[in-house]
Amino acid sequence: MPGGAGRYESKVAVVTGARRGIGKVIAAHFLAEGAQVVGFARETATLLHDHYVHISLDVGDDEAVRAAFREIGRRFSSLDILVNNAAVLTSQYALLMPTSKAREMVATNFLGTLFVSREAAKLMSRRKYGRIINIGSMAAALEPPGDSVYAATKAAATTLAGVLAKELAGFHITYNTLGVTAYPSDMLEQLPRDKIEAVVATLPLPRFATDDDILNVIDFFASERSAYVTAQTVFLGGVH
Amino acid sequence: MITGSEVEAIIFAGLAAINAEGGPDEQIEISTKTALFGAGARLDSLQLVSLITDVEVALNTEHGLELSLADDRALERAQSPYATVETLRDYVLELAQGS
Repeated sequence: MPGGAGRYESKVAVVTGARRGIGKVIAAHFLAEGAQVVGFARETATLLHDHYVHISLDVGDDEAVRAAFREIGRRFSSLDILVNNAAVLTSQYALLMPTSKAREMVATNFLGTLFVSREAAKLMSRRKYGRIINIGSMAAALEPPGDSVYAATKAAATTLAGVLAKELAGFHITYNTLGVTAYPSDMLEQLPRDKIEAVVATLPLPRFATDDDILNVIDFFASERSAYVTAQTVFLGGVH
Repeated sequence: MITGSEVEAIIFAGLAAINAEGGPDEQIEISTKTALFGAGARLDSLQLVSLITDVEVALNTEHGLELSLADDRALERAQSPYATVETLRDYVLELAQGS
């Protein structure tokens, strides 16, 4: 629906990790609802749309992130919504975790979230309006064996959201977290299916998350009406 | 090359924007001696963030300078570059010369 009327008409949104999985679903949803979307990913675009701009970068590279937001500022002059979705996962017991993989998760999942949020907030602060949403994980709450670093980076990003919610409140920028449960994606396929199903079986609502489960909460946090909702984490599936 | 007067004008414009949002008893003096950060600072933390961001944006849009005023170098200084309008101006000029 290029240019069609929708709930995000005239909004500019940035989605990190927009090439696949949850990020691609969210970016496509924003586009379908009328937004101008800028997607970040390390590789080339998988979305084609008149209102989609793709920037290939590593969110853990702060200089690349700064340059991307300078470009966004020049092209669109404002930013309304940021979804921090980019993440990498290596599931391995801590005693066997390669240091390079641990560093990669910290750089992308935590520092990348900081770098992107910082530059996005500068743009949002010009108009004193913004909605920042982190895609969190049930791993931060459930702390499953094998996900020590991944869970810790997701927990750290949620803590970051809580602090930035306070620092950015004066700019009328809200910052919230959507804690996603197991969602069919390339990332999930790295993990043993029986392990995932065992975790899902323990949830109060024991099933995988759907696109609509995710978009429902994204729409809530991204809404103009949610101006009084910040520093919150909503987990899907009854995780807490 | 950007001049000191041009940098001051950008900082003054940022302070004027802050004043435009403040009440009559919240007005900040606009001069090169105005304290921005630390002892005697006239800005709260939110206003300082807003000013630094505005200055970065103006340096880029008006002069094509892509400077980050909040990087490691700023924190490593014995005296904060954000202390006064003068120190901020000098820091911008220093970064501009190195860019």
